[in-house]
Amino acid sequence: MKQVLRQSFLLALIALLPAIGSSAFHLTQPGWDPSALQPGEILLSSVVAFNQPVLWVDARSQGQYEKDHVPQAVLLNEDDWERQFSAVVQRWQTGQPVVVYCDSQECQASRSVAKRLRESGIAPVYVLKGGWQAWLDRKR
Amino acid sequence: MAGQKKIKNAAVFLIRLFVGGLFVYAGLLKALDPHQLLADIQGYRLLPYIPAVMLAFYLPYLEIVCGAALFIRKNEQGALVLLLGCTGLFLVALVSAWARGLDISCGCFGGGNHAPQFLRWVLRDLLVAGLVAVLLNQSGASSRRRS
Repeated sequence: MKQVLRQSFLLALIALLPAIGSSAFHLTQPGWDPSALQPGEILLSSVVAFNQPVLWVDARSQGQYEKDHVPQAVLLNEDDWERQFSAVVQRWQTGQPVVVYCDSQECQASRSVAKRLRESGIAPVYVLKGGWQAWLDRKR
Repeated sequence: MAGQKKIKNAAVFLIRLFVGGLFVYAGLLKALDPHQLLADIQGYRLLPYIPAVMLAFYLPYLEIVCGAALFIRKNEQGALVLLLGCTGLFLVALVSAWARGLDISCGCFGGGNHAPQFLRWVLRDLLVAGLVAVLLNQSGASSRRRS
């Protein structure tokens, strides 16, 4: 048992070395500051400062969207992608910034939807930092 | 009797190859994009930001090192104990996210952009945990025989 624990400790220690290297040198390393913007994210204040209308995309569920959403936002989530995506394409004008949001900072839907939109050739696409919660906080 | 032993050894060898390869592969995918892994970890809403960042940097290499240890058969039991622990923690995190109805990406094999498939993820995790447990049991029996 002691030997097994020693082996585990050794392996855990070995794994620590490349992890430290990665935290120092990885090209896409996440920041240590939680308030810092991650790649592809945008602050609500920056969206408001755009000098052109943006296309808001709501990546939450249909129920949440129907309850309330950013004015003019279109619904687009993984549940009914094909139908909703064609609605987005109809509304989007070439070059128009697209801002995707989901529930809060922790949800993943906005990142997934933004990724799929970029893969579909739509650009620029941003993820709203803080999501719907940030939008609600703005109104307070 | 000797034939049965050969078949058993071959099965254990294949399981070791599969489990080792699986963790090295999963670790490499995660190591390539720590940013995505961090987003996946945050999705579970179990850790504060800084520990989540630390885990995003550390977990991929732990998987790679332990998977590689199974291939080279060095510190094998230690690697299996760590992998069983990791798999158990993944399972707890998955079930907890499922129970809370979170919209997450599993993060098991790097970034995914699919809708949550909790049942599938949990079953896959259970299968992997079972295979690791088989290897651990086998490895323990071998070392007892040797000593």
